[in-house]
Amino acid sequence: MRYLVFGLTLLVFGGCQRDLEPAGPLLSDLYGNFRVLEPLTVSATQVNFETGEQVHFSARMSILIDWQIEITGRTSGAVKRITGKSRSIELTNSRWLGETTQFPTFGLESCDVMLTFKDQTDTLRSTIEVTGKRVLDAIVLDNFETGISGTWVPFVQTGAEMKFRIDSTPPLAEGKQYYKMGGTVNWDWLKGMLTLNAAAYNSTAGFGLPNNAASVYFNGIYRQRANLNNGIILLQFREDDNGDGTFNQANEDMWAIEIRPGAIWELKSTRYVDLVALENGAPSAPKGNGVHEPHKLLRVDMLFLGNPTSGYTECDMDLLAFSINQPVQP
Amino acid sequence: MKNFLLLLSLFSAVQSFGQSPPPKFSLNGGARAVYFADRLQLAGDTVTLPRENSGHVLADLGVNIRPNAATEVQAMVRIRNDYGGFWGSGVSFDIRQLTVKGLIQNRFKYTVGDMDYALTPYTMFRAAPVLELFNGVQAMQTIQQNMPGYDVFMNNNGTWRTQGAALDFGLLFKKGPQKMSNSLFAMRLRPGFGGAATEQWAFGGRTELIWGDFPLRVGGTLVSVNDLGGTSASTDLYRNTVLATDGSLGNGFLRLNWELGNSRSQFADTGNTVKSDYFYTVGLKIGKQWQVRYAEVGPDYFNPAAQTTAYNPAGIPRSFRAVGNERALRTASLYDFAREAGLYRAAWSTTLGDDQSNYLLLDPFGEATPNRRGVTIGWQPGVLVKGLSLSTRLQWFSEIRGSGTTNLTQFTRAEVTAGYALRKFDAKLMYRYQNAFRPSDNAEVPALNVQMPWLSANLGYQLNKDLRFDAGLIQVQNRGTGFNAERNAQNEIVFYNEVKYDYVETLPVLSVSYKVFGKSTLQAGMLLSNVREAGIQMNIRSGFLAYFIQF
Repeated sequence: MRYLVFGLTLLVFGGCQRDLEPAGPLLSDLYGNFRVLEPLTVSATQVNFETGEQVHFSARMSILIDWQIEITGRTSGAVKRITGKSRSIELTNSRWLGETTQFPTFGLESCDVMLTFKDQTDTLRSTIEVTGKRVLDAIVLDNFETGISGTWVPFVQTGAEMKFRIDSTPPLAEGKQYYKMGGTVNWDWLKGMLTLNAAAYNSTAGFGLPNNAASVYFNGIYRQRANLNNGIILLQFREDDNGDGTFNQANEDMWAIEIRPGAIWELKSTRYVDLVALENGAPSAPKGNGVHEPHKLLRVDMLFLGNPTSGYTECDMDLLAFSINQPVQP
Repeated sequence: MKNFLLLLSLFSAVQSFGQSPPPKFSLNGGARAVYFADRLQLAGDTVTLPRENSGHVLADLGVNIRPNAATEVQAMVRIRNDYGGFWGSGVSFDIRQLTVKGLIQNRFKYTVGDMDYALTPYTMFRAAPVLELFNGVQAMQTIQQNMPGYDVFMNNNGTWRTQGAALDFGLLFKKGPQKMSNSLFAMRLRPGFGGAATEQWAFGGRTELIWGDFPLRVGGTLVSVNDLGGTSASTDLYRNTVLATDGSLGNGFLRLNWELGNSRSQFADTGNTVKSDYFYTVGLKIGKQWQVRYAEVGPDYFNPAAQTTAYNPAGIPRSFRAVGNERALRTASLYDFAREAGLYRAAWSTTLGDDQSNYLLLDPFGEATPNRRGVTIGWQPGVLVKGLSLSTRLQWFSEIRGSGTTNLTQFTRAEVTAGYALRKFDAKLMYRYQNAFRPSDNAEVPALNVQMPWLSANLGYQLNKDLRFDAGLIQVQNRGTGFNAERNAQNEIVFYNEVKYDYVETLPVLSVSYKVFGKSTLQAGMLLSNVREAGIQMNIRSGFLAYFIQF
């Protein structure tokens, strides 16, 4: 029996020590006073994104807190926001590679940097000079900076107030120009369209896209004229399933996506594998082999549509591009 | 298989069949008539109507049918009429119990339908730690046991009333252990309602081996709660499995007992969060007076069957539901737990919920409260004075994982219970001092320091064998600073609310009870609830008349 007493004593005074992190949020984060322990600093006063430079920010706070860094271009009005919840701001959570959160994209300009904290009045400020624009990692079909690319085949319907042209009136999206589409066609849904054949684009089958449809994104920046909501941008992607160099709509796949833009510029990125077959706007069975094969992409069509009874229709678009592995980040 | 015989005489109830056959048909049940006249006093409250009267009469009419010597059917119907609702909306009819039980081949006892089931405090047990306050306060105990306790099928064995089936059988061995008793169960915890909810069942059982020539007992317990896939569109299913073993050794001066087990919980969130942890407890009884126990329950040990308390501490009472000029919902107090069945739980909860710490910090979820380790020492000294009884209990516990800090909260509890009987008088006194303390690791965050003294006292006078007078008092206080945890559905703490405790609840009770016949008691009295919280005083005065009948 003395062994039992010994064993019990051992358990009582030697219960397993367990190295456990505290449960839940730290009380010091919830009830400690907020203070900025180290002020906001920027890793460089000038940054050239074109040459691959990057910039990050640093600060240290007394408690875990939601924070936001807002970078605003003084000339363009472009805005980049970086948010986080931490006790310190450092390289890992505040790196800026020149991307934009709120269009337009940043130009070569001075930028104001503002750091704010949730439920706190403290605001920390700094500045940074952009000396080189970010280079997009994407297969750009067109960004309309030099007009409409000659490889597009445009079509404009007969109608009133038809506007299918390059425009540079602010607000801008990417760069200094975008493509404006508008008009009244009271007898047809189609107002106009642009067609881009892969062969004309870069003489490469499938626009040089890989065959993994899950890794390919189609991107575009769109907006619709304020107070209008009748514009539809229909993007069609025709595949050459049988490899004969032509598209036959009876037995080859045509994937599509409908976009109904809002009133402000917005980047829409769609994975190629998520494109669907549409017939009169409704999902339908694909006509070809039913397999998403971006490397067999033969042609891209951009159709601008609007209900003929709805009157004037107007949408703008910019930066039509494919990207690989992730959405394009202008 | 040659070494054992089926144990035929395991169940005393069944044994009686062979001796004196009970009637094939009998009536049983109970009845209750109660009336409460309540009056509220809350300073500055010009909105709440100060008086509420409530009462009802109900009859539980049971039929016990024994179609043959091996089968028993028990059915019970409840008819309830709230006073003033005769032939109106106040009348209700319910099925209170439907059970079929019997013997198969005189070897297996089965129960189908409503059944009361409990295992061990760490595996399946209906914990009610706050109700320990009523112990010894005769008038409060009588009300609580005959009203909410009776309505929700509470008893002293910690059983849960469930619906399902159980199978019990025993084995006798010629060598090794003398006998083995087994119990298997399946309980339907939640119906699927045709796909509107995910059906939930509990399965498990217990096996116990007892040696005859050696003072050893070893048991094994399994409790598994499972959402059944395919019964709803949901593919995120809750599963909780608890596997434990327990035993005891010795029957002399030192008696050792133990239990240890593990839980694995898979929650029905999108990521199917999985948490597992263990518990163990070892106890030693020394002679007749001393008892020492060490227990450790891991922070992620979750078990709905053992951590769901009998009452819902966050419940909102029906009586004076909203009070004050702002019509704030009233927090349930001891006064309400004594009277209202609606504040009690009839089903297990798969989540711990937010902390409700008005009464308890050490063991709010019963013995199986997670994230606790510590020692309990009990001492029940022999006393020389005739009629005097005394028992003491000391507990030192600590968190295992810090709550929002690396510092661990330390819990201390000291309890003294004394009873004294002299001629027709009897008195009982219980004092419990509870303290929780945790130093702060940040000058801007206050230390956790809460004191919770409990006091309950009762003085009774038994005029004759049927007539009794009682005067009781319960007082609960809490004061200090603490932090109540908010938990998500996966029992993870997501926030701590700082709480400034400043609470005093005093319940004097006076009653006279008359034993009319058998277990039937007529009780009349006055119950007062005085609650002072953060300087605001609220009093409820309640006169009551109750007649509890069992037949």
